[in-house]
Amino acid sequence: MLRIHRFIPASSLVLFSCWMSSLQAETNDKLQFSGFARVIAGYLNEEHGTFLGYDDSISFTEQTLLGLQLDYQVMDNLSVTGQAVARTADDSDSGIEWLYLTYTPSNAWKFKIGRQRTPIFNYSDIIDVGFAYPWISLPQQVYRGFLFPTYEGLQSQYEYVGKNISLGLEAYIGGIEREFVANGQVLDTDIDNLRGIVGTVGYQGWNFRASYHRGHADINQPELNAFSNQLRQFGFMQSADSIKTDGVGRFYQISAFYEDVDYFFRTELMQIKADLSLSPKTKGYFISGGLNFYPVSVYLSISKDTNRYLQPVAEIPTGINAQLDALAFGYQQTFSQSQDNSTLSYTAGIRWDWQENLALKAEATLLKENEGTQGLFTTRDVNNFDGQAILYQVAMEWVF
Amino acid sequence: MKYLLYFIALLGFSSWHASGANGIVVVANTQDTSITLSRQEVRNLFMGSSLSYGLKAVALPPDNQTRVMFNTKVVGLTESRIQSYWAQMRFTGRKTPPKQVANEKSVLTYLKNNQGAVGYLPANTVIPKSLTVIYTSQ
Repeated sequence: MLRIHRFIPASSLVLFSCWMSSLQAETNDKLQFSGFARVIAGYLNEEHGTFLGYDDSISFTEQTLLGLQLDYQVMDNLSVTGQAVARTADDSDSGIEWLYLTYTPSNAWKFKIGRQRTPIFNYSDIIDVGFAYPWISLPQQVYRGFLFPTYEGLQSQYEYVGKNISLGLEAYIGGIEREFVANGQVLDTDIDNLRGIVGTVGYQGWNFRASYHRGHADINQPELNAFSNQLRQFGFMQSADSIKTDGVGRFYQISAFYEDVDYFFRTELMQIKADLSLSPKTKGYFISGGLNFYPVSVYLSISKDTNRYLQPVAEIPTGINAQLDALAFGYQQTFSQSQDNSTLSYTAGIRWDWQENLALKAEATLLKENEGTQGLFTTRDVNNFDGQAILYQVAMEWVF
Repeated sequence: MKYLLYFIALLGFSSWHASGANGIVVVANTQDTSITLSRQEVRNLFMGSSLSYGLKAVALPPDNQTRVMFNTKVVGLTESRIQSYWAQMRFTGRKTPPKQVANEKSVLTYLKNNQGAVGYLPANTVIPKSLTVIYTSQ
C-alpha cells in the first residue's frame, strides 16, 4: 500500500528545493544559502519485521529530508553557519543541526565554536547529505545510531599539504543536553566531557583516517533509575549497579578509502566500548568497492557487526518468596530488550549523476541476523521470522 | 573551393586542438617564478587546500573539456565524485570550491588581473610572459 498522505511532505521538499535554487542566485557574496534534499522510497520484503522504519509497504517518509544552510561572512576570517534539517520520518527529530562561528586565523588553521555534528566516523557529519556518498543508506553496522550525534563546543582543524602527502588533524571538546530518538523512544540525554581527535593522511588516491572519541552520557530513564534505587534498598547492590543509565562511551575508528577515475574502494572499522546497560560493546566494519562509468557508478558492500551487552548478575535469590521472585523477574526483564547479536548485510547499488547537483540511486540490501534477535530488525513476530530480509530503495539526492 | 579551404582549416584546427588536448598546464600569477608544484600539490590546491605559497585556485565549469581533462589527468576523480566531494566539504564547513569562470579565455584574463591566482589550461595555450607555468601534466 502506497502511503499517499505521507508522500505530500516529500513532494513539497522537491518544490521547496527548486525555489531555494532561484533564491540562491539572488543572494550576495557575503550571505550564502545552500541546501540538500533527499527523497527515498523503500520496501522491505518481510511482513514480520521492520528495518529503519521500512516494512512490506512502499514508504517515502522514513529517510526523506530537507536541509538548509546559511553561511554569513562577518569578516575576512570570521563566518557564521547555521543548518536546519526537516525530516519526514515519524520518530526523527528535526531542527538545528549546526550553529557555529568559524574563525580562520591562517590557511592551515580553522576553529569552530557552537553546535556541530560529532565527526566520529567518516560520514558522521554528513549522514543527511546523501549526495556526498554512493549508498542510499550508509552501512548500518557502522552508522546505526550512536550516542553523540551532535555537540556544543570548540573544534580545531589543522592541515598540512606537502609535496606528496597531506595531513589533517582535528580535535574537539564539548557536550550537549538534548533529546535523542532511538528505536522510536525519546531519550532525554545529558552528554558531558565529550572530546575527540581525528587524524587523516592523503596520499595519491588514498585517504586514511583514524580517530578516538570519548564522552560521558547520562540518559534520563526515570523507571530504570527508580528500579535501580529499589534494588539498592533491598541490598542488591551489584544488581542495582548493573542497571546503568550513565557511563562513559569510547569510540575507536580507522578507515582507508581509495579512489580514481575508474574505481573506488572503501573500508571502515570501528569499536565502541560503553559501560551503559543500554549501549552494547560493538565492533563493526564495512568493505565496499565500486566501478565508475561516468556518469554512472556501481558498487557492492559487505558489512558486519557484533554487539555485546552488559550481562545481568545472578544476585537475587528466587523461590524464597513471591516478592523476591517478582523483583528477580523485573530485573531480568530490564535486560530482555538488549540481547547480544551479530548482523551481516550485503548491498548492491547503482548511482547515476543525472545532473551536476542531482543524483539518482537504486540499492538492494540483504540483511541477516547471524546471531541474536534484536540486531537489525526492530518490531516483528519472532516465531514467524527467520531474521533475514531484503530492503529495496530508490533515491533522488539534491544539493543546491 | 572556399568551403574546402574552410574544411581544411577546420581539420587543421581540430588536429591542433587535439594535440593540445593531450596535456594540461597549471599557470599562476606569482612573483616567485621558481615555484613548481607536484601533482599532489596541484590536486590539493584545486580540492580546497591552501598552500604556503598563498596561491588561490580558479576553475572552469563542470562541462568544460579542459576541466574534464584536468579531472582525469591531475585530480584523478570523475566529475560526479568531485561534486559529491564539494557537497561534503560545504555541508561540513570544511572547504569551499574554487571560484569558477566561464572559459579558458576568462581564466587567462582572471589570472592576469589577480595576483596569486592559479588556473589550468590546455598545454598548447600561449601563456603571457606575466604568468608562470607551475605544473605540466604528462
